[in-house]
Amino acid sequence: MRILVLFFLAALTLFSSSCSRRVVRISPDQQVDISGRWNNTDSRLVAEQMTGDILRADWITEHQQTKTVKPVVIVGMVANKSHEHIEAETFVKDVESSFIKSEKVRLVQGGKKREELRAEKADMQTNATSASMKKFGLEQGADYILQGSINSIVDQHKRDRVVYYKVNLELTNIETNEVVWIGEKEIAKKVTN
Amino acid sequence: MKTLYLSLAILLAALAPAAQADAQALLPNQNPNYAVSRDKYMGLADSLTRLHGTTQHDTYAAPDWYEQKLQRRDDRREFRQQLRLERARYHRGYSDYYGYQPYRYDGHRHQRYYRPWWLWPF
Repeated sequence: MRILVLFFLAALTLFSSSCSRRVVRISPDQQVDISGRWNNTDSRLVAEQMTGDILRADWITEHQQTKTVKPVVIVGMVANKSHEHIEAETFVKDVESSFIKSEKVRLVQGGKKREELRAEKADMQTNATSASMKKFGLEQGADYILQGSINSIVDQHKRDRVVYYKVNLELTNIETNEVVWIGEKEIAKKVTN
Repeated sequence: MKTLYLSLAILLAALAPAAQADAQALLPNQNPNYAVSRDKYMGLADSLTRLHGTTQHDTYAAPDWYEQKLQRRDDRREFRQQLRLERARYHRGYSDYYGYQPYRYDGHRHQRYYRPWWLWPF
């Protein structure tokens, strides 16, 4: 009987341990490479490089010297031409956040968020009080647009694989089409299967 | 004829201030044909700016040894499953490929489970 109970407990332990999923919380700053694909560490490295570069570059001072006001930036589109699904918003948001925190650059909404704002303004024209209604035609126009691209090169031989990513962000003067800043970050990984 | 001249004069008088305003609005060194481009992009602005702040995915498929290995395994399992189904059908006397063939001999391989020769003693 005792042996039977022991056997039952051993089987239960084995079964419960093999079927359960274990989750451990980790710091977002911790580097964990599992598959060799693009991950949060890559996104963080790109964000750190870009935010540092874009705020230290000369374009802000040059703009303030000629216009005497803070530059206004809108975020455009980022083209992912790599071999993986990479969402640029994960590092572009950090760049936007650095603009706001530094108080050196002003930011305006674009894309679907801007459409949503305009729709809200349109709704106000018939539903809000006259005092609180926001008017059309008073939006802040952007001086610069931030656009980017993500490219990759994959070299593979049998079980070895080298992946190279290149992330580019560029800031262009909307009126003159002049590129005033280009930031780039290169990441290379060797994966052995 | 007199009325025609009068109408033309009124039309020109009406258009003159607008043309003058346009000419005055031209900044130094500004291309005088800027309105052509402006009119072209005024109609496209909504569709072109809708993707602001987003990522446009134009990805390509790169070879990956591990992914290829998994794919080969999945293909092999799928093939074996199809083969088992096909044998099961054949055992009952019908196959999608060969139709009804009740008397064909294939060395017992038509059985649902074919016991390999190295397992015969066990």
